[in-house]
Amino acid sequence: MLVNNKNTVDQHKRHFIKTLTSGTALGLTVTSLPASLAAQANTVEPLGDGEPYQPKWAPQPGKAVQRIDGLAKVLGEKLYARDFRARDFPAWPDKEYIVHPLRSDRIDSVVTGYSYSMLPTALQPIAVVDAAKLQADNMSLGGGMSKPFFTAINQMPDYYGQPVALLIFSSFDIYRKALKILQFNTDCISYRFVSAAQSVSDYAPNSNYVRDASQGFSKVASDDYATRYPSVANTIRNNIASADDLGWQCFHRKFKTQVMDPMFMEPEAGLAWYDTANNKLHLLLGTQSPTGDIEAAADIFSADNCAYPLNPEDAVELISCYPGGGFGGRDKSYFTLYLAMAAPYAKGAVLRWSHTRFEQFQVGLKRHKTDFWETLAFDKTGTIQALECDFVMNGGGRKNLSPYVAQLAALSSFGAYDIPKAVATAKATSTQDILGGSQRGFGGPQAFMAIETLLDEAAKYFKKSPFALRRKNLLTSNSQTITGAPITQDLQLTEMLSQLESHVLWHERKKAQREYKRQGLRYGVGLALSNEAYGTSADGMFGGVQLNRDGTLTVRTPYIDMGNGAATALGLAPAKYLGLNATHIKMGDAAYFDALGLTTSGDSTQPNYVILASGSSSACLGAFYQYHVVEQAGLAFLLEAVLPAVIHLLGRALTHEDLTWQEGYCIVEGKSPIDWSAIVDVIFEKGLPTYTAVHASFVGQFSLGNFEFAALKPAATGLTLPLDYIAVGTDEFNLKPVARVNVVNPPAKAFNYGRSTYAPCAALVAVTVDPTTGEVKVRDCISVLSAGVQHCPELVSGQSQGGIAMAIGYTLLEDCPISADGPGNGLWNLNRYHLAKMADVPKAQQLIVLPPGQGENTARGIAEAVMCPIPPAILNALAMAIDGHRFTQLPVKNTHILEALA
Amino acid sequence: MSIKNTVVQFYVNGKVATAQADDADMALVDYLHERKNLTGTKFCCGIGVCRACTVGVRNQQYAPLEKTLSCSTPLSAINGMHVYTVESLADQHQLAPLQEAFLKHFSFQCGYCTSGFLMAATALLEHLAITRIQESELDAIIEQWVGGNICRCTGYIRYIDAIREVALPVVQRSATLLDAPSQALVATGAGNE
Repeated sequence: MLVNNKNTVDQHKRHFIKTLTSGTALGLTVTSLPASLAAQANTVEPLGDGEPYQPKWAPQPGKAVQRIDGLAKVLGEKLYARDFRARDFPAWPDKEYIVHPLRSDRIDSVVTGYSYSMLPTALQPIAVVDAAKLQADNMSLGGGMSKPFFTAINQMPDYYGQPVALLIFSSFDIYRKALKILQFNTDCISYRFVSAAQSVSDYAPNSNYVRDASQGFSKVASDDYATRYPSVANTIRNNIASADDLGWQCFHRKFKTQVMDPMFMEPEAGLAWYDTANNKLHLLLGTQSPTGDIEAAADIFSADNCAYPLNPEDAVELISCYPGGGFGGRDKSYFTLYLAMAAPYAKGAVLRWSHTRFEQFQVGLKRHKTDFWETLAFDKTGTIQALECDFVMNGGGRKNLSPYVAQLAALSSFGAYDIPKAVATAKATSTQDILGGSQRGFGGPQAFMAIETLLDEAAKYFKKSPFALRRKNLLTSNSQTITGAPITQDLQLTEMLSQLESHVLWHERKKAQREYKRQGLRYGVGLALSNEAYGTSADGMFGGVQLNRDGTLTVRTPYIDMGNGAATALGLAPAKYLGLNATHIKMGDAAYFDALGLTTSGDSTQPNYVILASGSSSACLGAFYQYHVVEQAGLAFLLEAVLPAVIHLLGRALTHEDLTWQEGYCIVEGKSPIDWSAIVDVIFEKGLPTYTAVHASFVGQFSLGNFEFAALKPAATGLTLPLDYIAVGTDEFNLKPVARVNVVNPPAKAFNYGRSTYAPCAALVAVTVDPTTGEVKVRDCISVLSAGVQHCPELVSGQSQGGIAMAIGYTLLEDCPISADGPGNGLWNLNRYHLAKMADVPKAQQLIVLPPGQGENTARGIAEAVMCPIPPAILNALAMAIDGHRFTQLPVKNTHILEALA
Repeated sequence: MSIKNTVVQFYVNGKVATAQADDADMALVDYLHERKNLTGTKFCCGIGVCRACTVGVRNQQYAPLEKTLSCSTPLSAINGMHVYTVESLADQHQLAPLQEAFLKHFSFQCGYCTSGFLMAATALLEHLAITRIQESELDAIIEQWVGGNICRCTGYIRYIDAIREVALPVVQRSATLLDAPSQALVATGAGNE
């Protein structure tokens, strides 16, 4: 049976009080899609033909045969924000209004007015919102907004695409017809030219990382870092300037990379309803940052005299949908705030806002235009002595995460190499250009492009193979990162290089070059090695497991699956301790965890104190961090529910280590196998916990909590786990904490690590160049990845293939000019923006995933890593194909090739 | 039936569908979403490039299925035709082979482009059923038929693997049935786009 019975809309919700940046305390709720609407997404088809109680999507413990969300996606069921209408929510009004923004397409002029008078009477909007209206209604900026919602009359637009007004139409039919008149209509906004010059400033914080191993100086090691780093940096710069005296050989290049659109397939869309009877805002969205978004949205209504107040007890509810792609572009996107702001002006109706692709190109978050340079200094033996680099990312007209993207570029600048002296600086600039923000790689692609192309250039100078030069300089277990953080993982770098060095693609590159030459084509093979970090500098994370009465498990997580397979991987996580995969998963389920009432402030001895809150849903956080907490929630459930139930059934003392699982049975030595259903019956009959929720904090290492589990008493005094909070219960919004005896948090210096977890990836890429047309074709690609344990090899492979396609686009095809001719003018779509299609990707590409390092039993976040070596590998391949020519600007277009060949 | 009269009439997943003349210029994807609550067909670029909005269309009930871009097809252009969306592929008890294969091969990630790939590949299968090609030509034919569909997540390879798996037996069956090479139809990959 493919189609589930529809349940009634979930009514059992709780809101939780959050104190906003404005100081206001409000009740906010983030939930996953109600089961009745999510259809198969959150209630995948029931049990399969495999082991008892295992879902069909994963019939063996820890092994998926398809995505947990796969069935809904092949059936075309409602999953994405764009699929939903007001009528899908019985508790909402049926009436649905549609919004269309009038957006500025210039940044050199003052807006003198706007008009929609070209619309006939029948197509007139029922409401118009502009800067004056917001001011009159005392609407505030959302949290973190650096610029106003609207360009006010007689003001300059803050950036391309900033709305001048919103027009709200009373039906889709009117909207559809009005759009035909308004879209691309230059009479809608009038301007008066002022100046083409832009003022440029910085988005704080600027970043600097200075390390000098010879002095033992680094951010981690030196308490006086803040005062000394300028002088240490100057010393290193002076060393580089005196390279000849020191016998160093320096390689220096300036680089430019373009603005790149994430081009996730679903243009941003959502529903909003301001319930005037209850002063409550409802939002439905596909976002990577639901918790941050809802708080920022509430800020808009926080002024004391706001015309649209929110009920402090129950202010905002956000329903989190599966995003139709993300790649970082939905992380703190401003779309959420605009939708929230506009909601009250629909006069009690539900407001629908669906970006056109033109709008998405105009105002969606982009990978930054980046200007950067790097100097790499070697001694005469080819050992790297020093690095200096600087990254400037054009953040555009809104701040977003831009300075932190720049920061990670600087943090990643050392690549996979042990560099004793380093100065890396980075900043994001505030301009009026299109909006920069988070995107796959988060600064890593730029950093690796610089060092990996300079290394190839140096290898040629030193007459060494690019493998030999890299091998000579690799990070080891004794190395430190640019912040002075230790290398705590087996990065497997030597093995990665060895795999590629012995590959036929490398061995026979000269032979292949000769063969292609006979066809009139140039050919080259390039190597690159990236060392992309996963996780952020400090991560807090939640996970939960719920037992259902039918014996199936539901995973609860605030995390979002933007396509990367997180839902599938997390659905496998309970299997380690419970022998069962989840049949259901609730993503974006922040309310479940908000109910725990954890705090990161106040007395650290409070039982609900943890050092880190939960953050956004970056793809790099799933495999290691989010998986960890769901797996540990399974252990907590084992200890608090399953173990007591088994003890009850067997009538003897046991520990959790006495329990193993086999084909749906609990195995206890010397006893007959116990059917899972018997355990489930006891759990429900005795009122044992059916819900668990756990929290973990990671800063270079996990916080370690010691917990007292009743079932282990009196044999053990406590169990130390990589968690800092555990709660269990039978009411999902009233869980009780498991007694935490103590918690040992990571040392304070770990907060200066910057990053501490890495997923290295090396690649060989083969290209051909048609000298008559300049066409570059990627012929082959071999990647070697250090991924740790693979939760689902098919997902890892798929991420690699997708990352390669995206990297080909980034390197050769994709380009959003920031000029007035670029997407900021609102005229761009896929007719002008070209990304990799099926014909552009090599079909015979190969991914070699190294077995986990010795003792490694966790996965690494690889979604960004797999993309990172490809652009420099292509550039290095082009250098082989075109007589050593070094391209330093992306994208490399046919015209650039022809110029290089001329 | 003339669209100058009151309605446009066509069929959606085998059922009669009508639209007022006022809607004749409405894009098919909008009609499916707004009038039929069939949101499995996706809107992405709206200008007929990405092909996420691909649906199947038969000019007559038993005519070969062609792939059509619903974002760029006004209702006036499908008067009398039979439109098939992703919602038509499975019944209550059985997925279509392509759906099964997409699941087995982990072909998609975010899934927003999946229905477009499914419908383009479904049209391809019908084409292969009445066309004789060499097995060695299959990958090229797949690229002709679905190579224009954009997927941002996957790099396409797992889509190709799944489509090839389902298409290969069709090619082999066609080779048996259409045993006269001179009668073989030429695979053009052209839909009615």
